[in-house]
Amino acid sequence: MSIRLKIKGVLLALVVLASVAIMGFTLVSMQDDLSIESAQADIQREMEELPALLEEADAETAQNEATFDSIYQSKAESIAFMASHDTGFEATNAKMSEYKDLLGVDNVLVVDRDGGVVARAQDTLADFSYQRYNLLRTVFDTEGPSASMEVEFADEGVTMRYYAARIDGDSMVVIEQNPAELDELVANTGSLSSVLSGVSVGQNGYVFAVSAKNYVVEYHPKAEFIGTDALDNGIRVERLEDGTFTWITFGGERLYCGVSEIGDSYYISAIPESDMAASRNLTVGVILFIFFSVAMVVALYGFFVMREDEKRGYNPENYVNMGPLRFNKAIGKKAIVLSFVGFLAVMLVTFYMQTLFSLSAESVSSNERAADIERTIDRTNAQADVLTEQYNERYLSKAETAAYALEQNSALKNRDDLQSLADALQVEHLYVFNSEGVLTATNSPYSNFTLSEDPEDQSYEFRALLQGVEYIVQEPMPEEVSGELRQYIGVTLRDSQGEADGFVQLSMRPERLETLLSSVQIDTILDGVKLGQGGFAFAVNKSDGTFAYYPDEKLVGASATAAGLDESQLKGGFSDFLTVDGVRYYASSFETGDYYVYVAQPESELMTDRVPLTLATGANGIVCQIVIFLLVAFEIRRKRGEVAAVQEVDDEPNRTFETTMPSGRRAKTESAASRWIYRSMNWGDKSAEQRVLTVLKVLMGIFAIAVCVAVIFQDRVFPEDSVFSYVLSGNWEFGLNVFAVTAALMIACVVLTITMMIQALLRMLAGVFGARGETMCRLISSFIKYASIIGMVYYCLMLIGIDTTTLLASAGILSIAISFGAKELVSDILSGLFIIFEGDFRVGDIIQVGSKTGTVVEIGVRTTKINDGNGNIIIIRNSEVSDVVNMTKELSYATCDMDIEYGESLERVENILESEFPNIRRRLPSILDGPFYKGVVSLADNSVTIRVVVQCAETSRGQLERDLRREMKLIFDEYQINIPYPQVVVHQPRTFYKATLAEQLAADRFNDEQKEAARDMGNEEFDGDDGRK
Amino acid sequence: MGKKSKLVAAALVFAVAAFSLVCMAGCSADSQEEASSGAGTLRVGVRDDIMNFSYLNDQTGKHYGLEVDIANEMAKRLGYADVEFVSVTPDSRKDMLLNGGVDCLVACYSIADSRLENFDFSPAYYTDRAIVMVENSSLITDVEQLEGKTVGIMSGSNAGPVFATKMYELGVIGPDVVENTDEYTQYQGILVKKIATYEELSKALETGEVDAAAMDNSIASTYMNEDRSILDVNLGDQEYGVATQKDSELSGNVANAIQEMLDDGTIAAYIDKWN
Repeated sequence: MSIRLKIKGVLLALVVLASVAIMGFTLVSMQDDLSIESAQADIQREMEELPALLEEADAETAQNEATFDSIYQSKAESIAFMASHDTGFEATNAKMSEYKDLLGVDNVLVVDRDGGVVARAQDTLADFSYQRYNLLRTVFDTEGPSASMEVEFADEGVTMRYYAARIDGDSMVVIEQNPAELDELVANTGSLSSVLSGVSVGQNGYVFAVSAKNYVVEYHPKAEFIGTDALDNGIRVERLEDGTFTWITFGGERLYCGVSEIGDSYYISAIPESDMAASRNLTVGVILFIFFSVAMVVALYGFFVMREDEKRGYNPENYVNMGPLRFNKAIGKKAIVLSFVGFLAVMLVTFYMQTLFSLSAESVSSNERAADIERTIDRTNAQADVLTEQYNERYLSKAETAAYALEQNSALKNRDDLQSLADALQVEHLYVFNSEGVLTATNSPYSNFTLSEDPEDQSYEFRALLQGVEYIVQEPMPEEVSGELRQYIGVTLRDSQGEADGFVQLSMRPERLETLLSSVQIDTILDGVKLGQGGFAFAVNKSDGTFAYYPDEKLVGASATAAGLDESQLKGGFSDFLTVDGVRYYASSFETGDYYVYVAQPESELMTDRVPLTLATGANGIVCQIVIFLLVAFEIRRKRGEVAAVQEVDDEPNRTFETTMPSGRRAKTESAASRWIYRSMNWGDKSAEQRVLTVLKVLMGIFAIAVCVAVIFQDRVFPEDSVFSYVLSGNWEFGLNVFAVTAALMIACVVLTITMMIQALLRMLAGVFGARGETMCRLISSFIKYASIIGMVYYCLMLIGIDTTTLLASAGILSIAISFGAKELVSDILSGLFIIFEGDFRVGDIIQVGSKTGTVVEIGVRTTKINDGNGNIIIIRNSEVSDVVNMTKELSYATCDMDIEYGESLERVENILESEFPNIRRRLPSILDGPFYKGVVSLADNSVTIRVVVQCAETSRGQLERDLRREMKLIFDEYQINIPYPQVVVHQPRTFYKATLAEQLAADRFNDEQKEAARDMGNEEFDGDDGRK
Repeated sequence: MGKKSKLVAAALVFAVAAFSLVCMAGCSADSQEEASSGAGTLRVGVRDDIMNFSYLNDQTGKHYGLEVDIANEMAKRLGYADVEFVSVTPDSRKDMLLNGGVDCLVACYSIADSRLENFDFSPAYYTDRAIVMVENSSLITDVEQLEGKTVGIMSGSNAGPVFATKMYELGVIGPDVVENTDEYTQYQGILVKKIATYEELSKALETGEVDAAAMDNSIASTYMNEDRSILDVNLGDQEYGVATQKDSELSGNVANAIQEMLDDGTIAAYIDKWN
């Protein structure tokens, strides 16, 4: 290698590396900008929504507290009612215990004005004489029960809530209740975690909260962080300012964050860097690899050609001089083609990767969100059940209290007292029925009522109370007139003997339950769902295929199929593009109750940005390609003398040579015999093109192996939500989409890698065993190849959405069809496939099929076309391509068999041939080597047949054979050697010449020489033939 | 693996802390000399329970907050190589400084005449005010309602005298101290209970043992919640300064360093940071 070439090589390598570096930098920074921009937009949106969310949660908490308080206030009030209505109230501990059990509270006390405890159900930690309890004493000055107050007894670890109601001017009843139930409810509905756990920033981001007072993490999706010190976890305190966007490291994870300070907390909307980088790194990696491959292939190709030229000499025809530079046409043309194809490949891959990653990110987030909503629905349902149960329990307790009061003092069964009892209990109406089921007293306007005897009627159920059933809690039912939810609860009244004596019934409107039940409605749940930029959720009724909820009111109730959804898209577990109202969304669905719920996102920013990104990559790529191209195709002109320095082609056995393609282009091909040799060709034997091909193969092999490794170790290499895992999880819709194509590619890489490895192993084994082993290994190797290819194709077809079971079934049907008539066609097609896969021959090969010989012009699906050399195209059906002789070899032999009379001296003829061979060689320039005398082929009936062969190109063989025959005839004529032909001979004895001793010796020598010279020439099998086989 | 190493780290932290405690007790005299010579480690007394001023994180054994930042910066400017933080309480801080247990106090220590007799103070780096906190359920909304009630303070804190002075100014209580013990001070018309820690003070307020609590605003924010209110009265400004031993060599340097930090906006930046 000359120094010049070395410098150029190094220069090329540097340019390629620099290009890759520039490309990598551009890609990374562009992707970074994009992802930060979109992250910031996501965060901004979340930060704007946050205050409303928190307010909503606070309102929820306030409502929960109010509900809880009103229940216990009513309990206090009802004791006060009993105290003032002659129901056997007395300020004793025993009575308080009775009330405690009746009302289901933790403690009931009677406390005087100064805070002294008069009676109690059990001991209390509270000292009511403290100013702290002034709030309870307000009952002495105002009507109704006191507001609630809560005291935490930290030393005892108890928290108690207090409610008071006035008994008389100097004493009040105090209810002490542990608010654990309330706390739990608040934690589930209004707490920070209940609010923030439902929030997603962008696709995988989240919001966590840090106390502004002590920097303790108040909420984080990972429970282990809650309660830890945010500063310890890596947050720098100066970053925590309202409205900043910044990078924050938290718990070792880098997050892009927006900070908002609301109340006493910092809310940090965070998107993990890994989230942004994971897709970036893979995308950039793959694009860079392809770019690198392309650049390297072009550069190496130029380098190899130059090296070859240097070795074999320059062909001045290949060069065009341009000023001080010289353009290498041969390289230039091919380099342009390579560069262009490479450029297209880079663009395609960029576009493809962008699509894949943005789609997979969308898809993953849609799926996650869908799962979230599903959980929300389940949770709200469960919550509604719990709340219903709580309601029943609480109102039953009220009914029992009413029954207790009425049993203690039956004089209360009048409208006024019932009204004040209803007020104390905070229920709407009380009804007292006698043992006949007739309404005797009520505070409601409807005072004339008897329980129905029709089992269909709502009131019939309460007849059971007349028979002595303890209580009946009826399900809340919508009222006939108003449609409002109303609930009735009845408790049996008993006389002093304990016999059932009518019952008391209360009715109320469970408003809280009503709102909760309505919140379980699909539209309420889906209403607040927002995802990424412009993502939302909608629901379709299972039964009639109409929209149950859609953000656009107009569509609600409309048919989904009419709006653009496909029948096949109406199902759970869907994950693909769909069109609603003319807009394309990427959507995931699940099935719940009566609905299919979809989470839909419009094409993301990344998706819209993929075109500029692709163009930028392409532009960058083309500049790099041009630089490489210029380096490869141009060189500094040399001095004249150097140009002609042609070196002799080295004599190494060469397995490649030029053939003419049907198009007239000359191309290098590998000789037939060499194609089935396991041993790979020496690097040195390869042409520049073959070397580039080898490099390309190696690169593709590396890529395939990398993909294969990534697929096999995906769990360890990639995070759970990466595109790799997503594509392999198969959670997308089978069909012709980017995921199916990717999955098919991955599968292909894996299968090919594994097949390659097994084949390599078999090849090694073949070397160990003998001929039989080698045959077996080849067989197994070929079997594995077909099995893997067929399996792979089958699987990939399945991924792309072709129903393979039908395919299989139809294959069965097909076989029947075959037996009827299409058999030939199918076998042609199959044979064609096998010819291509097996590589028996290629276009441009010279083959012989049966008696037909010619150059292969085309291998079609059904037929193979060969040119017989006369310009005739012979079309052979693939199924009939058998007994193929592939005669593609570098050199052929033209054979000429000549008959000589028995009488002629063989030695003389041989001497003549020896002297004439050089002349023949001279006269027939297409002879590459020879002629060679091959000896006597046969002793026929009338003649001795000798054979002469010459080495020539297969293409010139036919003509050469004819020329050779002519030459031989002329020689025979010249030397009077007779060629026997059927003739009538009038016998006239003549004397034959005897060979002289010298002639005999020379003939022997000649014979030996010729045999020696032509020993490796083959052709033996053609004995007795015309040499055309 | 991660957990294990965390455990090991925690154990190490404890070991180091224990060792330094022992060392502090054993060789305080030596290190005192070393410190006063202006090299090595500056031992700073800080609080461990005041969020945003100086708060000890149990997990890391480190203090965080405004005062910690100020102390670090001050030590840097004074040329110390290292700063050792020692947790002090209002009860113990006086003795700690007098006995040389620490070189200086940056511990929400307000500049008061009574204290100036014993210590030197730097210029004030933070101005706070003392307030009165009550439970909403006590229905106390005005400071005059406190007459005849019990008010809690943290024992040793400046809030007690400041509070009593203000009450007297407002005419709620009489001028005399009826009785003064370690447990409480009985003024004419108000009982001031002295409670060991702010946490206990907060608990006493919660259970009703005290009807109101007087403390510095900076401290109050830690214990404030939605069931509590701060009465609309300013008991007086409290100026926090760095305290050093009377007439010690350190006093002037510290005062200069703090003044410098005040002048170049360093302290303002810290206050902003921890706000």
